[in-house]
Amino acid sequence: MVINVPSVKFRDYQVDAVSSFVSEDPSFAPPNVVIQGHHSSGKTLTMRKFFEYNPQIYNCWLNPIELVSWKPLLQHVARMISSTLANLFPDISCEEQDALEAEDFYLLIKFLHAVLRSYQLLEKDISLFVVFDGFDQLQELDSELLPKFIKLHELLPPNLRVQLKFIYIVHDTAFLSRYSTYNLPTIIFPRYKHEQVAEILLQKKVSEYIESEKLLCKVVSCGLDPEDSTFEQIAENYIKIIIQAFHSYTGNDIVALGDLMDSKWESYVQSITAENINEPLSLYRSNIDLYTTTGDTFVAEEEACVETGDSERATAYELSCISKFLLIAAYLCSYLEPRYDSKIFSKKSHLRAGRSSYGRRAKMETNPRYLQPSLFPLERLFSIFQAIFPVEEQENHSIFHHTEPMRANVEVYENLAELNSLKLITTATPKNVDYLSYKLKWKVNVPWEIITELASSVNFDIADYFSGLHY
Amino acid sequence: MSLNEFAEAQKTHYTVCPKVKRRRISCEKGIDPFVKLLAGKESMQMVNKRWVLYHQLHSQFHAQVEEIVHRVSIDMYREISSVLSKDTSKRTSPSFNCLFLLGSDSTTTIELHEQNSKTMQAIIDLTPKESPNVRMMLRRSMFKLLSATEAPLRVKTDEKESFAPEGDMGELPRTSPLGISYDLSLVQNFRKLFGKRLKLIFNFKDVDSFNSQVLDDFIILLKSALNYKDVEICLVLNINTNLSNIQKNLRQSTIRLLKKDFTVIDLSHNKGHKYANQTFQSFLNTVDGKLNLSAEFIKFILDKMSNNATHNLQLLIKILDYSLMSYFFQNPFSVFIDPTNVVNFDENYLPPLLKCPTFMTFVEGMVHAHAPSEEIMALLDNKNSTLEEFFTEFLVRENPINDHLKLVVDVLENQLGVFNYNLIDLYYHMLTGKLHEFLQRWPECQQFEDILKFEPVDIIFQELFTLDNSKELFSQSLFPFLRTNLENNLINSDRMLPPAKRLPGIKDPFEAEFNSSVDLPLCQLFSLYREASSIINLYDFFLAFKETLPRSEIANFVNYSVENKESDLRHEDREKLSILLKEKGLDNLLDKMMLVWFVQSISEFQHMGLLKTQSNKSYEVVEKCIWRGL
Repeated sequence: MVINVPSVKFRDYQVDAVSSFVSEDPSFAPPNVVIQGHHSSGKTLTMRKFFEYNPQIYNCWLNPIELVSWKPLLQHVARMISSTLANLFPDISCEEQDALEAEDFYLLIKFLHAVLRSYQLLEKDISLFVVFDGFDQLQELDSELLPKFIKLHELLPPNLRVQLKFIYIVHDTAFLSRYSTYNLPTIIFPRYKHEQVAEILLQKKVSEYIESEKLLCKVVSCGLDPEDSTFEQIAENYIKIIIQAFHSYTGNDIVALGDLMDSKWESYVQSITAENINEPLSLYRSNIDLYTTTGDTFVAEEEACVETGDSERATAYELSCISKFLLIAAYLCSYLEPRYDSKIFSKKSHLRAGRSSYGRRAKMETNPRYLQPSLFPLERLFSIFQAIFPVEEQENHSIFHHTEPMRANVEVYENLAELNSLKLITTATPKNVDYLSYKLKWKVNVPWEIITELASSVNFDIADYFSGLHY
Repeated sequence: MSLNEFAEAQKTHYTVCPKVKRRRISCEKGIDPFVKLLAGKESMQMVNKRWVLYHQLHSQFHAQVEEIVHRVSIDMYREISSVLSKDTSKRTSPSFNCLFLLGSDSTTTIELHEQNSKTMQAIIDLTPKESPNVRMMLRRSMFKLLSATEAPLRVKTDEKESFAPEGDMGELPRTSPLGISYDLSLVQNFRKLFGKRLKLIFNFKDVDSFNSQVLDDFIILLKSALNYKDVEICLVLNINTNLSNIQKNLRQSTIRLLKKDFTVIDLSHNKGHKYANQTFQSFLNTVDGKLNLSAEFIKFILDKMSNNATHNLQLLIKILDYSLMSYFFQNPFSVFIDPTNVVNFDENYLPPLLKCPTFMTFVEGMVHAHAPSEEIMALLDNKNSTLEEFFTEFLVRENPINDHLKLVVDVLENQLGVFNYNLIDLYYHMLTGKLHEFLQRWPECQQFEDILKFEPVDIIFQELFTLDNSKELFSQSLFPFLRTNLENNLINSDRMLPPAKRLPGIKDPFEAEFNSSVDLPLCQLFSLYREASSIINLYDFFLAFKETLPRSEIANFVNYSVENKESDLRHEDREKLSILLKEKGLDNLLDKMMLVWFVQSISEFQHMGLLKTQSNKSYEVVEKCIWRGL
């Protein structure tokens, strides 16, 4: 019984621990082993490598995240075990069982009983390791599931030739601490440190990037023939810069860092020219915006190319000018009190008598923006819309320029309908809306952040309307 | 107080019939919808010719538009299927082939390139209702995959069985050792089970209504299937809001995963200027060399198109249509677009010609150049039909703008490879002489500057052949105020009803008269509604309604339709009507009819949101919701 110990970077201790718990001889291996560690801390890699180095130790793998709930998990355990054994010992005939019948725990036991019994003909005892890769990733996880598996070996007869051993790979420490009284052997994979992350990524990615086709094409198209060390230099610099730029964002998450690198590699390569290929600093400067954003957005590129002309700016947020003002008006309707409308929006407030004209507004206790949007009738929306919609000052006396306040024409209603179907403005009742009913009330469905962005795109100072409203 | 006055004072209501001045129609109408222009002096023949010419241009334009619109959908399908069938073998890391369909109403069917024997392509539609959680999504999609896979197999075995009744089932995949369960193992073992590569296409319908957490989890679940051999996964997301809306609900890591290979196709075909450009170009081609477009009109189009984000193309077609129609409707000179019609030119056309600003500047120029005064006078007085000849001479002059536009487009597309320009905007800049400014967006244009230089020129009489919006017709008719529009339609029923059939030699004089004298009850009531105060007593309202209806004509009509066998009534209806007539008498019957109409119209008003009851119990009084009076 020789156990080969593979070398996994920064995981020597863990590999040692695993090799002392996992062995082909069932009498040396505990029935349950837990491996705990956060995302991308090398758990799966280490285990895979371990079994790769020790093909004499039989194993099968399960991905609970794919199985969603416990019933398919049980069926898969049954199927996996029977098919692995059938592959390992093709000479031994065993009667076929339907793995789908293992719909509950006792049925699983029954199934395993029947399957394992047919392998009694084997000469020596063997252990079969069942690895749950990410046990707590199961969608419909309940606290009863793990104890049932833990106790499984007690329900199977002890004299079986094939002994089942379970390895649970678990992400969450909180999940594990529930079962601390079971005293399960637990191997902990701590997070990688910053330097370790850098080293692993350098080792893994440099060779990949050096051989990448895009880099070669670009360099050839620049008419260069640099030495291999130059390539290495480029890739190495790139990886280091990415790690420095995004480490604060991703933490020591190797997968996320690797993804970021992959997604930016192409544009990094594009900026290589004959001048900067040997100067890391100028190469860095030429694509500095790569390192300032993660670029995890679907829209960035389009928006950049839209911002060209004046007329196009109106559709920068994929909304027309009228829609934007309607939305702003709706926001004002929802978050300002109707009592003060005449003071805020009317240009002739001095005609009014009473307090409403000079408006000693009682300050509100909370900023209205933090509250739920209040409901408003459509009429109020249109009047505020008319008040805020910009009127072009004479200059051209043609009818093509609105010189009088915008009134609610078909165009405005079209835009309102669009806002409604975009769910930016919604009705009070979500279902069976009668749009013609006079009772219908509306509310805005947009947060402050978006409305300020919209308002700034049409040069409308919406913040002004909300200043001095509360203490 | 006289007895008459007293009796008058005791009346519950009064009927006042103001005299309405009927509009005098200045000229007799022909059969065409067009009327005589030039203060009614235009000849009937020319009106007819104008109509024919308009019709010709209109149908020519629409034939092209239909073709363009048809092409829109074909292009779209081609684009989608080319994205879905793109080669994925060169990918460095496993990723989804991700396609976002923007502005989609989820009815887009996805057409696949023909199936081959080595690859199984399966489209799995998932709606938000079917996807309450990941488990259901997975089960449903795997079930659909399986049924899609087995459908052709079953057909095949059926065929075989018909040939060989004993039929060996050994051909069917032996499924038992692997088993089929509705989870990802089906995808994983697909090759083993069915001996084919698998291409899975998930079509998420109405993504905005999905629970984003569930969607996110499902995508992460599918992620592990990417590593399986011989499996390719495409995700099609139908989005009807916008990308940023979807993006904000997904995890960053999921976005990064999807972003590895993603395509966005905007189905609302207003993104980019491709189709709008084609439509505008085809309009220019239709009226090529005949009509000019004024700069203000183009500006109007541009403004309105930027206001309407979703139905841009339809709007453009509508505006162009309307402009063409109104031009032919109101401009007597439109008939000369076909130069052969010039033979019909007569002295009635002369006065407007003299008023043309371009002509006036020309004459001014002649004066400045000290041209012989007889010549000028001859031109102004049309001696020996000099003016006529002068007009004819300029009729065939072509405006260089269209040719130059073609040149610019050619340079942009073929020399510089620029396609995302707005043709209408380009045209506008050319008309206003700012072409240079427009082209500055593409610095590459510098090298063609001398070719592209353009100065707009004035041609004499061009204002007679210019599409313009000088009378505010477009803004008023294309974008009417909702309320005035509603009001107008409710007052004039002929605006919403199809025109009454006017058969020649009409048999029943009553019916014709009836149609012209009695409006729809709804319209009748609306004209009363407009004048009422904000609170309406229903009984008073009914009385007023009853009074305003022309009672004698309705009575005549009822009598007529009961007696006449050829009226529209069915036999049994007529029976019923005549019985009622006998039992109750005509007056009672009429009252009932009016009451029915009244109640009908009132409830229609309620549904339209014009009226509301004050409380749920009493129906005596209703309140107006709009047109609440001065």
